[in-house]
Amino acid sequence: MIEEIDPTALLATARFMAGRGVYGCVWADLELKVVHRFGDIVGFIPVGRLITETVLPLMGFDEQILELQRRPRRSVGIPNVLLDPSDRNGQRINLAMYWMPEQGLFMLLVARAVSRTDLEVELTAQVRARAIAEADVTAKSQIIARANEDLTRANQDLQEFASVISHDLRSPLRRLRYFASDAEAAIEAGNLESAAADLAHVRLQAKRMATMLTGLLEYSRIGRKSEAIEMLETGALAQEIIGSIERPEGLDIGLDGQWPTFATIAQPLDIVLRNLIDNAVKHHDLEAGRIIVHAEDGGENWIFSVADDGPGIPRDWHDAIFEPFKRILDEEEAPEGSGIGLALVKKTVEWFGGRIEIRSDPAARRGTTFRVHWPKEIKA
Amino acid sequence: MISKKLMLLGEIGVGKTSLVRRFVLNEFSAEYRPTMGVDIYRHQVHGIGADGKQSLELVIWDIDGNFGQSIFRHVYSKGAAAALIVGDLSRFPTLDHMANLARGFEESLPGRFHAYVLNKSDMAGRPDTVQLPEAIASASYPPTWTSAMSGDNVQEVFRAAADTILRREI
Repeated sequence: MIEEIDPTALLATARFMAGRGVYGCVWADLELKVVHRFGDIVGFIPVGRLITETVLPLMGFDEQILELQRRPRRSVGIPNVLLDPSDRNGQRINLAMYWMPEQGLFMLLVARAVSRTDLEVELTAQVRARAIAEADVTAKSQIIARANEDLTRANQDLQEFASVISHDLRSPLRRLRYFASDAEAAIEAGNLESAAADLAHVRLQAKRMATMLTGLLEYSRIGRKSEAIEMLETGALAQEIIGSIERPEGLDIGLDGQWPTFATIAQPLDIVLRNLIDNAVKHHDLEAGRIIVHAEDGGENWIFSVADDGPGIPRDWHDAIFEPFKRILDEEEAPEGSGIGLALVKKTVEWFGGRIEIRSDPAARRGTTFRVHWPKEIKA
Repeated sequence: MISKKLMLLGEIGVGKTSLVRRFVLNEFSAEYRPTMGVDIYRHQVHGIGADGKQSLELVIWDIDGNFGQSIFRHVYSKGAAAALIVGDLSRFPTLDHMANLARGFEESLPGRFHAYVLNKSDMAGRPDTVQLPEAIASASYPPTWTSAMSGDNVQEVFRAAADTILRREI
């Protein structure tokens, strides 16, 4: 087709377009030095300099441009570039670099990019501003949903608190009142020895209540703090816990199984293992005994277990022992503690997506095993 | 003078254009004008490098935020020496996307420098009250809080990028 057009008319048209900034051409040699240029739009590109230095968008494209000699059908194109952003009315351009085998030169075609009207720009701005606003609304809705979940949980905790305080804290409070009355009567009767004994009971009950309240607070805080996920050597953690727990000389605590190092949250797992081992020690009824702390791969979970050869837990109590302040033994016989350890363990394990099971049947044999299924991957 | 290409990456509307215009032209406009394509700025930075006496010309590519992760398959990202990955402190989802952009940049241009820029600090709370995504909070190069509106830390973050490019000889 091109051959059929009068070359003079063709050249005139090319000059007309180039003179009005519609397009322009720059030719560069094999060293990428500019040797010719044509058109006002490329007037800023000096002859004799490297094209990859003077045409900013081509900076760093030397290899791709030289590669065109081996792939002449290809081009290096950079669309929609604004070269002078300080000019609010600056013109966007498209750049395309070609290899011209007949001339042995590279040619850069610079063409005015399809002009966007003010209306188009405004429309895009509005569409994007709307997308930003919608993303904002979504994010804020998620924050509100999370806040609502926290609120619901806080309400549940409050109800649980009210229930625990009204039932379980009433007992030591009542005892405290009785012992205080007895002490008062003993003082009036001049029996100071008896009064001193009653006051010792008052102190003991007050201490017990303080321990219960501290445990209750710890229980209510599970999941409230943001926990950092870190690489944890669980074997080292278990050793450290075992080393820190006081126990009678005859009670041996052993570690076995496959203890993993994995990314998890350290403090809650520490709470779980510490309370289970502490519980096994405190409730052991013989002078000599053995506690085995074990770890194994359970597929999606790691299974951590604490097994003792203590008196065991009757089946009827397998659910109740995980409630705050529920004890199998009478208060007087029960070992000292907050009464919330197992409740704390269960709530912690479940909060982080795991579960706990108990294996014990004193009617058949001594001993209790708690098995904690702890997720290998904690969801943030 | 040596020239090096620095990319500005980030979601739409995080303030990439505002940051570079504050840095190069010392101006700020609250009006949102989308970047459609790429705007190329150049700015000389002096008094940097190991001896504090060197200079570098930054060729800053302010790229349309609409590309998302596909930017790393686009011709715009070729030959970059470094990237500033920008997020908006007033829109937390934009911060979550920063780590993905950083990963994409590391994979497509290994060994090049990148840093996190947390923009619109004037609209956020105190730094110790804002919980950042883990990948950003624990980044080896700590994120910089900037405000294109007030100019806080804008010069510093570009100068630091230029200085690192020189020191690492990227």
